[in-house]
Amino acid sequence: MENFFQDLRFGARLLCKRPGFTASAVLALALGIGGTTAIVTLASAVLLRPLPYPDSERLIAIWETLPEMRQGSVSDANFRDFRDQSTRVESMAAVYARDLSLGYGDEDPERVVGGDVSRDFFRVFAVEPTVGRTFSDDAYAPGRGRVAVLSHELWRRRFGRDPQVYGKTFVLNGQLHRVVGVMPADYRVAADARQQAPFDLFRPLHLSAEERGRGNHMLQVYGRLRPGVSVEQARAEMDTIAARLAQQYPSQAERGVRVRTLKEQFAAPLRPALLVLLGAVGLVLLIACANVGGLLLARGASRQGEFAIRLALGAGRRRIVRQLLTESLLLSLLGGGCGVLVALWLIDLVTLGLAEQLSRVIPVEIDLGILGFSLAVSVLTGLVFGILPALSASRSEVLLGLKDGGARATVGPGQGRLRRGLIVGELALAVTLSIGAGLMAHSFVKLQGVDPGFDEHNLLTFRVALPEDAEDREVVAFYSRLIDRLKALPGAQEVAAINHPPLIRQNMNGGFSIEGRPPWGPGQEPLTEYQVVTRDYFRAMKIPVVRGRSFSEHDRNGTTGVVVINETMANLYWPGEDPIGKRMRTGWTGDEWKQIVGVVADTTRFSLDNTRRAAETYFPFEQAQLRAMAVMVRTSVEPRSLVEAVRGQVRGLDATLPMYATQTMEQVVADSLGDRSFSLLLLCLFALTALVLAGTGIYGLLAYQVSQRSREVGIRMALGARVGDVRRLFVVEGAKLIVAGLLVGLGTSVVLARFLESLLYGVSAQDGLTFGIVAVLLSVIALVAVYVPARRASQIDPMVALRSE
Amino acid sequence: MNTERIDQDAGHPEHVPGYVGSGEVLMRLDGVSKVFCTDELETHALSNVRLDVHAGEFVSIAGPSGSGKTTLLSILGLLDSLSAGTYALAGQSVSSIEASELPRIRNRQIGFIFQSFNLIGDLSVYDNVALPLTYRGLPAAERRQRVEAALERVGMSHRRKHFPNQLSGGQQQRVAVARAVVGDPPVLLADEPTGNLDSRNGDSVMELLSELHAGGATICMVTHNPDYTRYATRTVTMLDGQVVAEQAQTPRLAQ
Repeated sequence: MENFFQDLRFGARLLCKRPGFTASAVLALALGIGGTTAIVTLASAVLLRPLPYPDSERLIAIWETLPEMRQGSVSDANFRDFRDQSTRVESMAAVYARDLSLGYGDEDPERVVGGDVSRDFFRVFAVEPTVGRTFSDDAYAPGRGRVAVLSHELWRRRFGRDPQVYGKTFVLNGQLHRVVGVMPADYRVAADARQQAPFDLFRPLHLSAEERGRGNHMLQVYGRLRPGVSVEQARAEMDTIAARLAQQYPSQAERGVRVRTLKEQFAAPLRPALLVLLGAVGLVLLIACANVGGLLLARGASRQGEFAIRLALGAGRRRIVRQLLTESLLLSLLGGGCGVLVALWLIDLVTLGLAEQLSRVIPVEIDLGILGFSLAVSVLTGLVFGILPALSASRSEVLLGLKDGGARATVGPGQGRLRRGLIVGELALAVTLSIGAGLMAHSFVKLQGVDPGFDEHNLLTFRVALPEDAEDREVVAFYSRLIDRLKALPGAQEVAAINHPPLIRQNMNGGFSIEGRPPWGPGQEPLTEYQVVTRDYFRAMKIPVVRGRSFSEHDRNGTTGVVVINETMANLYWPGEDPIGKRMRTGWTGDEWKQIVGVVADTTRFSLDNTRRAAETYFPFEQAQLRAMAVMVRTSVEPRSLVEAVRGQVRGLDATLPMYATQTMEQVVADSLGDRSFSLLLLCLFALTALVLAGTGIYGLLAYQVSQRSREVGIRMALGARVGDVRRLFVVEGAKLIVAGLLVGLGTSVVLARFLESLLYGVSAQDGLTFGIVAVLLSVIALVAVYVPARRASQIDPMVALRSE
Repeated sequence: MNTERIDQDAGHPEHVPGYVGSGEVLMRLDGVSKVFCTDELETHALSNVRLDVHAGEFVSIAGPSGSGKTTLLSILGLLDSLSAGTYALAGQSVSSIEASELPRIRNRQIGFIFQSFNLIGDLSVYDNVALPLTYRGLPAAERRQRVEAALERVGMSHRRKHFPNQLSGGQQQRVAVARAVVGDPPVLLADEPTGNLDSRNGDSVMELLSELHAGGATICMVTHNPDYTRYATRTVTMLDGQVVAEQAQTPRLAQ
């Protein structure tokens, strides 16, 4: 132990004496260990760590499926059948997410996400409120239910953590509600299927008779398995129930059920990107190890005299190796310490991008386990990069080391293998990582070239939700006045509204029938997306009307019901026919036949990388009023410059209405690629780090090689070698290593790129262009790293080189 | 022993009694000085050295450590520049030669033998010896022929595929001698060629140099060992950067 501390003290002194070496090594290790720690933290939170609920492995999410839909909301009738018929699910509950307007005092109203929950909701999660209680049975009685349980975040933000909040009232959607409880901070149930935003508050679920119908799919369903029941068993039981319902109700013929653990629900969307990023940081860590290994190799060579003295004084080789490994460990622990700081910064960056919303549902933070992991990685890293240079250095020849550093001949044929191996390895790893980033970047460029079907430039969007009990005529009047006011704003060109704008990943769809055609067979009823738009919507969005007309002021309540369909709908259901003048009926708008008056071009509905075009039916707003709409403002100026003026107009019409989801459509388009672009950003960041580390590593190793071979250069010059001969010698040797590194890297990439396939769009995992560009780029960087030391070698004064003897 | 103190201002020492050579001056140093400068210190490694080396001579350069022997040899070998004076090699002033021409001259005119052998560890015996010919751009067939001959001459042809670290010190120095002579240079410069060898191997290398001299080579050799100066036709003694004595002698012949 005493020897260990002695080695530690000596190592610390050496590190202090060579601040340049120490800084380079610590920086390389900090980048490698920090990147690894950050991504492992995220992966651990998303993939490994249990959700913050008691026995969370027993929690499941239940969805309905259709042949063309992997998971969708559940109808209340189906939910009740699932709940009542299941024996393997201990408790099951449903939640209906609603946008609500929270108004209080003189402050601006705020849009919050409310969850209207069924009776057992809190029991499913087995979490008790920290203040007050959850809902009593009485709250579910008809005419009751103006009570709310707050999320911890809303309690903190709007009620200042008031411990006396129980019983206090506040205004929600224009109605007085009473607070009955506050949930704990880590109770963050997601409000949508993509698990992004947590609920701000909960209310008892009250559905109208229409909403309770089997065809109205609007609920998220969660359950808690009985102890000892596996998710597979629950899945089998739910499949049986769904099959029974399909036999019982024709409308359910094609419907199935999907059961996933809640953990899987959270983890699945991020798993591919996280695994790729884990691989990427692993490669960065390996490059950092090779980099520091190279530095240690060079330092070991310069300490041959010291080792020879130690050996002469009786130290065994094992003792020398142990001393060097202690120094490596010291270095790696320093690197690991700095790496944790890098990780903290990177986690902030990651939670801002890849998992901004996710991190509100799952806490992403460094805990003791992660710190332990970082420590283990640091120790392992120290061993990995330290062992070979230590073994190499311990082979010092005592006599030669003491006399002339073994200068009888220059470096032998076997001694350069480690150095050459490090160069080839670093380059191969950098090539692999760069090709991964290159493929993602190429894919991203392709996606940005996708036409969304509308002009997203100079387009501002925001949402407004009128109270659910607002009268239809009030709703029409409100939006009509709002649009008129906004149109009058300087800088506004066109203003329109739609229920769900493209690319925001919310939709409303349902079946339809066509006049004069036989009804669809059971379960064969096709779906169309329901879009409710004001009459200038297509002009505001610059969506071309390809046939017929758009909506006009005559298409209002009381006139002939009309719809506009998109080209996909026209081609699917009226192939070779002109759909103009034909009539269709949707379940949503009742029995009235709607006349098709126009066909518009398709738009991209969900994301730019989803090439599936949906059949869409547009309804005129005045014939199908909705309370919550997204307003689109086409501007002649920078759209964000109009936000305050727009807010003023909304407030001028109704001061209790919050204006929310305010963003430009360019932002919406960019956000639709959000996860992908952030994965790309991180991957590029890691690839850039790898390039810098590999470039400096190769340079360092070759510069070390030149310094080791300066005597050889002197000999060659003495024998008649010209400047060009020496330069060529080192460039050719370096070029051979570059070619070897490229070949190994390209070969590895061909194998590993397959794992990226699910993240690519329009680009093959073996995309020749990307492979070629990366190979050229890396060759140039590596050649520069080779050329500089080669040039330095050619400037060696042979006399100085030989004088060392 | 016939020693004469040289008056450095008296001109070139062609008059040294007992001088053995062909008469043609191959290397002439005239008033050569070499000063090494650091920030705070000027070191006069050579000071006003005058020396002629004739074709066919075997000159031994002796003197204590720091007397300037190796610096003198480096200047003779075009590895170092002069601070003052002139140096003519085969009648041509070195200062008039372009720097880019120096490697070619070193390659064709001069063969080096170093105390530490200075073989290249990554290259086999054969490749080490072939190196000067490679730089000369000789065709492979001619290279092979010359290398075989040189290795044969030093008795190392059976080790042609070995690497330097597989050879003894004496064998390494034999390879170094083969490399020095393979290009058939008129001048051989040897800097303590026996310094790292035991007496048996040292004798053997000296026998080899003596044979080369007998074959017509001009040799300048730095040595500390008085026994080996007897192989030379002339011994130049240096002290504090100056040639302080010269002694012509009848060389001990190779056995």
